[in-house]
Amino acid sequence: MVAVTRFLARAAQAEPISKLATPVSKLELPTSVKTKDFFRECMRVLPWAVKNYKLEELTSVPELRSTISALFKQHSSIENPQVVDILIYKGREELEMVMLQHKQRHHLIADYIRVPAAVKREAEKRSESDLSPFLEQFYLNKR
Amino acid sequence: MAACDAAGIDIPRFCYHQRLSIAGNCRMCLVEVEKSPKPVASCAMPAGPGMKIKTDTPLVKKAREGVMEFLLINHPLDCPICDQGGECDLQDQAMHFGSDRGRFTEMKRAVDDKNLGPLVKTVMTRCIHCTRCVRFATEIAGVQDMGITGRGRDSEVGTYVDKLLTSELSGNVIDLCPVGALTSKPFAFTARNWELKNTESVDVSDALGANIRIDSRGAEVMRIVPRLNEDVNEEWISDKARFQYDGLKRQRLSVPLVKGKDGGFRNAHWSEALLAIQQALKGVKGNEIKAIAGKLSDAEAMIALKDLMNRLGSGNLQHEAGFSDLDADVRSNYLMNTGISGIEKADAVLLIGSNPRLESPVFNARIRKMWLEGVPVYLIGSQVDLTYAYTYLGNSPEALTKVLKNSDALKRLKEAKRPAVIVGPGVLKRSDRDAVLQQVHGLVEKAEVVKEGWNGYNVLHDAASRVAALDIGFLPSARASAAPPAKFVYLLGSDDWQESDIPEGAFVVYQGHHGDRGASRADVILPAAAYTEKSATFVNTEGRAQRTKEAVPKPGDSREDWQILVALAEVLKQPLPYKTLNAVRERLAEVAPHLQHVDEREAPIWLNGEYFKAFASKAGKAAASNKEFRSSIDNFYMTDVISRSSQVMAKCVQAKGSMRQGSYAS
Repeated sequence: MVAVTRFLARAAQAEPISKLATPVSKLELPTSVKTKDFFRECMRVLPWAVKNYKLEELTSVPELRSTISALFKQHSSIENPQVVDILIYKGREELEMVMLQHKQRHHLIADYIRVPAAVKREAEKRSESDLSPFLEQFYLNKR
Repeated sequence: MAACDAAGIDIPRFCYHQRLSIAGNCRMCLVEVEKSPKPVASCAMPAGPGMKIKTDTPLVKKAREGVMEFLLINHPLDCPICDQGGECDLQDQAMHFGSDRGRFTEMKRAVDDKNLGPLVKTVMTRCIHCTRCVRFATEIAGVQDMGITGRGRDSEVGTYVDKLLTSELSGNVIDLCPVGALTSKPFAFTARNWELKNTESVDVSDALGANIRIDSRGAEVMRIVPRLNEDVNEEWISDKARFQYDGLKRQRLSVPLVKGKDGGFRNAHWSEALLAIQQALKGVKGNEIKAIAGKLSDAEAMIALKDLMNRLGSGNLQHEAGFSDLDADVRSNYLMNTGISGIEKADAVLLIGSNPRLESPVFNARIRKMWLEGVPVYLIGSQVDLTYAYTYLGNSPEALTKVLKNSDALKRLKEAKRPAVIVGPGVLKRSDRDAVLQQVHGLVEKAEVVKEGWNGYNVLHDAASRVAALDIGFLPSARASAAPPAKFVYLLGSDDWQESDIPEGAFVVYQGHHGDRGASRADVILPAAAYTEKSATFVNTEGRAQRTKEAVPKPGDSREDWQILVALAEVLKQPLPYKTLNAVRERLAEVAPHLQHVDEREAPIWLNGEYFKAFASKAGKAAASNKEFRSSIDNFYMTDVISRSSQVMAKCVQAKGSMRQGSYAS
């Protein structure tokens, strides 16, 4: 749990977040390296997060990994280093909130975990591609 | 007092009630009348011309304070644990009119609680002897069960010999009681009235369509109380309407269920359940499909089911309340033509094959009211206690023939200016119905029950959905009788179907809210909303369209009935042209325009005997058997899925049974 200890240590020192987001040593590194580093950082936190937030009953570490990597892949086309820097900054902000327990369990469930019922619904949608608006509403129990 | 009420001046009262006789024993309504030496009880004092009544003089104030003090001497200080707290007349009036300090130092008296059965809880120490309950029981309900014993400070209200209250209207004494002496047993200690949400709705336990208020807390119905509607239920409701609500919490269907290969049900998602139905319908011809609607089905669901069935090529529609082939061509033929309140204008009544005490207790109270005013009542049907005296004419079609030939009863009906004939389900459910109805028609013609400005031919139904089914034509089509045995049966909340209705091996879909007989026979179960959980149209026995309102959310994954049918139609690739509740109602209005005019009664047109002629030629010379007339209801407390699932109703049945065996008298 190197990552956790490091983050907690930083938080204890109450460093301003701007400094956290852009460690001077990494500024010079190429974009791809910075991204990979941040990706690994996230992955390292996952087992701890699953345990700490009691997410075992809802998801597993591999499932979360694929969800997170999908989030990274969403932005794979971006090449502008400034934009990448900002994305990493935002990502790290999020990560920090998870690690410092500023986020609560339901936040993680809503943002990173796909609820089984929703998965089922989506499967239904796929099975009936020509679902009418009424049926869609009916299955979702919305009026 | 009536004069003051009309003038908009409120006079405090306990014993006075508009619908009961005047007792004048609480003395709370004392007012000062000019030239009268002492204050007079305004409830018992007739207003005269030029009379000057003063209601806010120091004398009146002092009189009220005094009365209040006397009443409170023997009233316990247990408001915090009293169920009436918050809606108690005594509490309110003590705040308004009572003295601001007490002088009371003595002991209060205590009174034994009485056992009035499983519905009414008694704490007799709280009683202030207004005798409203006693007057209700003797006057309105017509059971001589309650009374006052003892004198002075020893007087007690109770049943004389430790009897239960045997009326089907007994719950109304709870509303009448101005204090907390009589409260609801099932509701006891469950909620306070100020934390309840009130929803104005309509009762479906019988065909009267009594107006009710559903009091709910969160997702739970806590109690049901009557709502004033002079034209339907006045301010009474039957015990079943009031106390069956706990059945809404038991035996509920909350998820779609599909029967697996092993014969057991498994939870399914809606799409799976609807697809299972689609699979089952493959290769089934239109005329092999059948639909049966239940007693509690609403008009919206029935029209959707009818449209869907017609699209699938089936006209085989039935209503479970027995006589599915009663034709609906002429509305006056299946309605209460005088109207429920209009019956009071009648000056002679003949009941045929009906036991209104069980079929509609509140309506029965109206007949009793007429009887008290001197209207003669005749009965052809089973000889039971109807709470009023009647002339018994026999219990078979033969008796009807006899009456028709020449009898006193016929003469009296003929002499009457506004005679009324009430035909009950006991006639309509017979296999030889047509023959009996022909005789009834003959009687109606002969006794001139229908004349200029008066139509006294009445039909009393026993199921809430029955009239709506007839109004929208939820009937077997002409070719349905020639249809082969059904391979697919759709039960819309139907649990009282006949064994012969569902052939063995048929695929059965049950759509409804309770797991009962229908659900146990089904292959696919679709959970739907009960009447407290949806806004739906019901038509009562006089043809008045009324709407329920959603008081509590639907349980689990259930849906409204019409939604389920529209969704099913889409899955079956036979989409119905309406997708919203309003569109369904527009469709209803297309079929039966009067269903649009909610809370109004659309009086039917009488076709002046033309219909009788057509009926006679159609029915031919069917002979009436000599079977006795029987009411369609054996057990008042258990007539539909909700009341059958209700524990309170089960306790009523038990209490009634044990009282009959004599084990109740101690």
